[in-house]
Amino acid sequence: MKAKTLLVMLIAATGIAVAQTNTKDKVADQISELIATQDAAVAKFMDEVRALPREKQREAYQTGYPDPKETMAALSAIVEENAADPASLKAISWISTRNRGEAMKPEVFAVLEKHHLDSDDLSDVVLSLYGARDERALTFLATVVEKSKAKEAVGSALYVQAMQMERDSSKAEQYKAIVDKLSTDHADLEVRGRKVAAVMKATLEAKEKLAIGNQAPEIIGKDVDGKEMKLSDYRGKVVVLDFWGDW
Amino acid sequence: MYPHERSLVERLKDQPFTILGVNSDSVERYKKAIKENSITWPSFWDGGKTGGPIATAWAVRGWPTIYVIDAKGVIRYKNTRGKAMDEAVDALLKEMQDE
Repeated sequence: MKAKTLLVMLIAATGIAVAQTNTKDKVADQISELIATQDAAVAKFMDEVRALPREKQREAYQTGYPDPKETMAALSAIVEENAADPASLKAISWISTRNRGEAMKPEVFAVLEKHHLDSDDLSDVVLSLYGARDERALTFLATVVEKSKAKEAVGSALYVQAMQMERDSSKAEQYKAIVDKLSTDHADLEVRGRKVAAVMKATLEAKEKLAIGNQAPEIIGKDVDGKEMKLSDYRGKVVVLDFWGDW
Repeated sequence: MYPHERSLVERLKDQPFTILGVNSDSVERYKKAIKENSITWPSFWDGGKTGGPIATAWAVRGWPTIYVIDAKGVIRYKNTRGKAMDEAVDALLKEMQDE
């Protein structure tokens, strides 16, 4: 009897110990599983859509796309309980790249700033804020730029800040400063496979060259029949240079 | 865009003025557009796509993009449209007369 009790206790104790060491992995596992399940559903759905005749694909895509809402809610609940767990960043990242323009909640930004600011995996979340204009998102980007120790995240945040300013002429100075910083400190930063700093710098230089009051750069090209034309052929005339297309 | 440009070209046909296009269409589409819209002014053909060499050199990111260049080859206006574009051209033509 005694031995049996001891054995039961021993088994129970081992069980508890195992459960405790596994709590952390369990969070990661739960998150991975939720994500994998939804991603698999999407992959299966996409295969089905591709098998349809072309003209029916769009409608099928719009009506039948597996709604990620439930997965998002489940992930959010886990994040709430385990904010500091590295796996929570993975969950936030997954949500942020799939919530189609819906603003991220203030408490999620707080979790990121408090627990994941220095993580190398922060970049995807940062890049997902491309279209975000709300105050909280902008503060978050500024915080990443100022305080994060993760280089790629800082570069990504600078990139997003720059893209948000690009078309705002009142922020031309700030934009230029960020592009300069990107080209000196983050020349290797890749966004969707492109080294963005070099591209932005080239565009900026082209724009400066094309400022009002400057001599128009020469254009040497051809018309649609292959006959050579030059912009300078029209010197002596007022020219409306019209970049156009029939679409 | 086309009817407005046509009327501008028509009104200024005796003046030192031209519209000079940079076209990003495919050859077929470009030729069709010229025919259907009675486009009489010249255009560079930029390789059949929006990322063509001229558009890239001029950092064009949206279409249409307009530059108004004076008789000396200086960029004077950017992205003026409609009535503002007409006024810009008229101002530059007047400037030429005054000199």
